[in-house]
Amino acid sequence: MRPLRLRNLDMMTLTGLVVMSISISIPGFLSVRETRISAGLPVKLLDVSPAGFLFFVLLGTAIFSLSLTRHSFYTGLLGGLVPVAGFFVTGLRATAIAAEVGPFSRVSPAAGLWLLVFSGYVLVFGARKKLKDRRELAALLVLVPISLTLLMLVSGHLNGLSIMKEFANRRTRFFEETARHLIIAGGAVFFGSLIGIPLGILAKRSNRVEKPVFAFVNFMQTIPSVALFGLLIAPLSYLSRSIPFLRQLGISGIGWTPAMIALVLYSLLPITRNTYASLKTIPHDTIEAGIGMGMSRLQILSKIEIPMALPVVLAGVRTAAIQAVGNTTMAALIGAGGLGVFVFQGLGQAAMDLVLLGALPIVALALIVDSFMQLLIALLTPRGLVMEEGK
Amino acid sequence: MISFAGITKRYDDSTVAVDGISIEIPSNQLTVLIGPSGCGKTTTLKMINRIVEPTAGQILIDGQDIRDFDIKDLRRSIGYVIQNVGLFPHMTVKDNIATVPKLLKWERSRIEERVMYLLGLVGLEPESYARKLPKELSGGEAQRVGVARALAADPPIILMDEPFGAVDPLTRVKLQDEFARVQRELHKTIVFVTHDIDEAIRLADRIAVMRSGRILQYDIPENILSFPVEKFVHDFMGSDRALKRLSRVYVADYIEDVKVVSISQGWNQVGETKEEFMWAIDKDEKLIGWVDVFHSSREASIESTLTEVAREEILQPDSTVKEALSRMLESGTVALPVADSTGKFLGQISLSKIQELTRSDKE
Repeated sequence: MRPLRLRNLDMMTLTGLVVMSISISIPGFLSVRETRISAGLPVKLLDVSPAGFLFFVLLGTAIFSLSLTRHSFYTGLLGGLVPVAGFFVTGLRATAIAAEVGPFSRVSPAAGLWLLVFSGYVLVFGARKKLKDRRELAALLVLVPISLTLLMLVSGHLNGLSIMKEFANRRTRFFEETARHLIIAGGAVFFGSLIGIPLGILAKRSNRVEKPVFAFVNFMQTIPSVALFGLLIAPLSYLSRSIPFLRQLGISGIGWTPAMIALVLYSLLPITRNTYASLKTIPHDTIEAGIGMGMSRLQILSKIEIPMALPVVLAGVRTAAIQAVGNTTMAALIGAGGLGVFVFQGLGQAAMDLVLLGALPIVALALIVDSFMQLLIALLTPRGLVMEEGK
Repeated sequence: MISFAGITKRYDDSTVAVDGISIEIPSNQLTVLIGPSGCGKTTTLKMINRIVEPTAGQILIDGQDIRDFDIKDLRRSIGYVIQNVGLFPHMTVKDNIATVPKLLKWERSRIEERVMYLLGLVGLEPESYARKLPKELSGGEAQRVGVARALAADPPIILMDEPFGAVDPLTRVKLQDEFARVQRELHKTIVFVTHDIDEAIRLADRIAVMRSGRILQYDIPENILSFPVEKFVHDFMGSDRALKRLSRVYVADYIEDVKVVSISQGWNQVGETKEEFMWAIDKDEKLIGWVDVFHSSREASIESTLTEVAREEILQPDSTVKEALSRMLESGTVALPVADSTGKFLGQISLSKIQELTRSDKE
């Protein structure tokens, strides 16, 4: 048993706990609407489930006590359970609450539940920061609550919620668009790496290439995505019209082509920059030692440069991947599909739950991609290159 | 033997780094290239393993032009220690040392054995150091690993570019001493670049003094100190050349045999003597102190009049005469005892003897 000390309490945990207490006491934990698009009425957590309220009070106390003992992993684990428990309670009571209001009524999460999710995020994030040298544990802190939430989604526990009703009406479409979203984002990062990594190597090798390369990738990053999609429509449709072969390939002014091109351009900056920086930080002495010991050019690359540069290059790919998952949303505007479809449809119909059906999976995907890349980086970083705290 | 024949290195911007050098570097000896920064010493060194290619001239190893060898084979047969060690940070100490043996595709068991032997040789405990990472080593330890890595495939030639430049002065002297010991054991052909004259004198069998891409003087250290060929060499050696010469001679060669008293016997062993002081030993002939023979009362026991000598005040035969002189000046005495590593008394070295030595050098 580790000693309890007040000075072990950090700002992140404290913030998380304060947000959590607000979220379970404000009037709007859930909101109930008579129909899909009518205005909502707030419902307190205490009205949703008194037992649930009590549970959160106990959970908060437990997290507070644990944080005083510096058990960062367990603090984070319980923190991650906060949103999971929020969804669980909501799922248990959603159908009953809806029935009280009317036959077409819908129950949606309101500020309270979202704040609860946010408090869980803050608690997990705070714990992860302290687990810097244990990246596997840090990744676990995100994976556990997400998989539990997914389990509830799949098992039908949350089917009483309005967003799940929207989902039920579009089941096939939802999976199609999710797959398309992943293919577009993944493809963009794949081709971005295919171009960006050699570009970074080239920039490192030659001073003449360095400046124009970075001028270009930096400039690309400054163009808003909607504008870039728009700019690509005209030249691409011209190409498609004048060259039949390209048309047969499915290239046109709208659809996946401009989306892919724009997203590849966006992913270039983080990947190129990190590749360049990673090679730049390898001391010349290290390379010269290799040459002096009779390593071939290929051996220098495979035994020294790649292992030493890989973690930083992958960190660039990670940034690009998270960015691509977000930016792909906008691709729906030019008919490329993806989860953005639901977001824009929902906005058009003023159906907030439909917007959420697109937005929530995007957030979840971004978090999953982030954790996966962090895990990959942790596994591929040689022990000798892991930075210690304070160094 | 490594021979340089008319070696010149001119860069594209027409700066001349090395200007027509011709020297012969003898086998199994340590040759130091010394000079101020920018004198071309590192460039000269790097031409031996062809990291730098000369513009003109020829380098021969045992009579064969180095361009006749496969460049990778040439480099794998030459150990290389560089300025900032250049250990591979992502590899363990063991994998760092095993670099060249692995390139040469040695068997695993042979590599393992070799790494452990080398760690012991450079004074690092093999079991605990093999699995360490470069970032876990101190500057001195990293340098040792660098030396072990250069020795890994037992190359006949080793090139060292200011190998002890990046460590503190105390550690540097310690590393130099240990390295000198390793070299006495292995007799490699070593080319050693430094700008530290004390280091050069301490380690070198031969010294080449360089300036502006040329070799001004190439000789054994004693001759360079005693007979500098021109003002630059004279100045570069410093105004304390006489003292520096003393760091090339060892106490062992100047031990004087003197009478001693044994504390296990009485005063009558002393008899009639003109000596004021005598070194005192115990029954195992170990030095324990000195006795004031002149002033002490013969009534008291020898043991009670004894002044003890601290262990660090006793010189060893492999201490340099410079060190002996420095200790004498420090303690204000004119003679110091010499004992071997077990503490057995060998004799003394005196100030008058050192003066004789420096005087005879002048003639």
